[in-house]
Amino acid sequence: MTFGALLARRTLVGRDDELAALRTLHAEGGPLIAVVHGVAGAGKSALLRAFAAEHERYTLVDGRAIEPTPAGFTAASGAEPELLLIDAAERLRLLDDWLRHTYLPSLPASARVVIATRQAPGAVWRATFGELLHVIALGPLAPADAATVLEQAGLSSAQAAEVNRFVRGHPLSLQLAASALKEAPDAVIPTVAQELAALYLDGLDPETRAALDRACVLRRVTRSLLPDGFERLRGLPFVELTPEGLVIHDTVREAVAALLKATDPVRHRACRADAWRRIRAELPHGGWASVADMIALVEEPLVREAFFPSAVQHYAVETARRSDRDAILQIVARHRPGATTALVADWWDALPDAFRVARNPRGTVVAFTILCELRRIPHGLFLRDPVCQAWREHLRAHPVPKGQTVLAGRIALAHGTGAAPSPCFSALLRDVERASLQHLVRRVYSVQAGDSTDAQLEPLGYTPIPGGATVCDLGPESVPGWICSLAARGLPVREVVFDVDAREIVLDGRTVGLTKLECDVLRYLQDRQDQVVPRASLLRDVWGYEWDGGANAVDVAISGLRRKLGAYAKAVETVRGVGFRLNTSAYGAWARGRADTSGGRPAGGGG
Amino acid sequence: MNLYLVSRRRAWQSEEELAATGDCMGAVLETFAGDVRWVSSYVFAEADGSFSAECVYEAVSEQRLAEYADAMMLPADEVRRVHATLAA
Repeated sequence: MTFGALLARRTLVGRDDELAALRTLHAEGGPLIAVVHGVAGAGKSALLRAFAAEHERYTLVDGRAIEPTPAGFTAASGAEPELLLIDAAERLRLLDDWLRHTYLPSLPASARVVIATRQAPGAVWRATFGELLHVIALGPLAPADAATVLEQAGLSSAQAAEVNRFVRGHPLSLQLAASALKEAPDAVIPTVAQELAALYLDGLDPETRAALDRACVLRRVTRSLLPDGFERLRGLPFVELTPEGLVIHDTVREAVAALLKATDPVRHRACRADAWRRIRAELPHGGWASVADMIALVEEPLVREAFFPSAVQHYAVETARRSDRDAILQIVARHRPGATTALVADWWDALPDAFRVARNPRGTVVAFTILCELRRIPHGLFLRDPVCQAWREHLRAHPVPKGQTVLAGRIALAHGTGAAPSPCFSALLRDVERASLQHLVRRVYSVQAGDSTDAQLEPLGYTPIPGGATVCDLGPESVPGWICSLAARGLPVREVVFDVDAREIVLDGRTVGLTKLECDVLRYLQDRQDQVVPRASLLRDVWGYEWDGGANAVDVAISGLRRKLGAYAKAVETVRGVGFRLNTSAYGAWARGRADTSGGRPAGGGG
Repeated sequence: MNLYLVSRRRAWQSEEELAATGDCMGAVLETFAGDVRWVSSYVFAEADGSFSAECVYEAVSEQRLAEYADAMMLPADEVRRVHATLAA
């Protein structure tokens, strides 16, 4: 049996008190929810698995493997679970409010829930659930239990005692230390998991070590994302097989990534570029998992934090309640007295559900924003609010294809800092980014908010437009495409996005308009990518049978298309005496716009 | 700039509230453009589970200090100007 398999299947050692505490969920008058919290590698997942094994029916939701939205969660949890186990709940911080206010209260009285997470539940959880919530802190293993773990891993009792003097019962460190000592019996055991990991990594064969370097930039490892490394990594002691693929323990992954970036930045960049190409190729049909993979490659902290917050979120963002009106207007009056306050009151009267508020841990509104679909803004507001008029003018000049959504973010203010950057303001911005994920959002309009905030938003693609407004065009592929372009920054990758509905092609971020004919020809070739398309077929299917203008028309159209493709012109190859072929293999990713719902196999260069 | 000692009694009901204050303090101080400078705070756990603090600031005036407390949504139960500092 491999060490990785041993780690996945090992029986739980110790933790009798914690298991007994979990069993009180089934006691008369016992708690309904148990939260098990402890640092990374403390053994939370193992405890959950052991508790699950005592039940015939249970549902396990892995926070690492689901889309962090209510829809993603309910898809994983199913309807009315009897025993719901939520592992790696620290990955679901975005759902904190929804779980507390909506999901958990909706469960039947007979349901029981166990949540494993790194941080202790906040005061709001204790206030919400009171005695129905049982909090279990998972500390280090007792010395006798730690010794059992090490002896099971093959160490002598003397070695076990020596190791546990340093790692002090931390389960992941125990596994790593045991593994390192087996490889190098004379090794000196350091005290922290990262150093233990480094010690263990030094003993890996070069191929496995190289595979680990390539894997450390990935959120998860699948056969398609790392074809030649999957099997090598599968047996490592800090790698777990999940429904999404292999997951390397965060502590080790971060240590390996930091080491590679510091010692060999060129190879680190090459690993990221390779990961980008593979994820890009999977994105059109990969769903949330591929989007999440791509988000993990984005270095822009505001984006990455929006979807995978790394720290406890002090500010809960939610739709405003009716009772929040005065607090919101007080914030506006504090920073924008006069006309703006009256205007925000108008917005509240017209679209109260467009208001999102950030609350501090006491529940007080400390910041708010207004965010809605542009088409929902009533005519009266367009007449009264000059910024709305600026948005409409821009949209008229630059329409979006049918079926794509345009969002409008009218204002965002925090009580203490106004429109200047602050943690609660950032919480609102992240909320706007997440909202973009819910629909096929093409564009987000907003307002210029001062140099410091505009500077914060500029890397995300927001640009100023006349009338004091700003716009962020996410491109034809909506958020997934936008995430791709953000992740591609600084990487040696190139990208082409073909938006059929808008008759546009985006070449490395530059949008080029196409005529209807050019668009039809390119679409025809793309649907038959890498196949030779005879002139006659093009004439028949694009121009129509009745066309009698001569085959030269095809050459003229192809020539015009190549001119517009610029550096990508050679992607349209001439096959002498036959016709043409679209060959995108040399161009990183050649993506199909989301608006294009035509059949045919998914495009994507990979490579 | 004068040195002030500000008493904030039972200003926080939980550790989370305290952490949230620490989180946004820097951003709020930025907006005071050097009129208020936080020196240090001493936090006390009260018997009822809440937290109080004695906070030391440099500020151009008591008025600006009061505005800072308002921006932070914190009480300022007593504001005293420091006459002299003795240190070991």
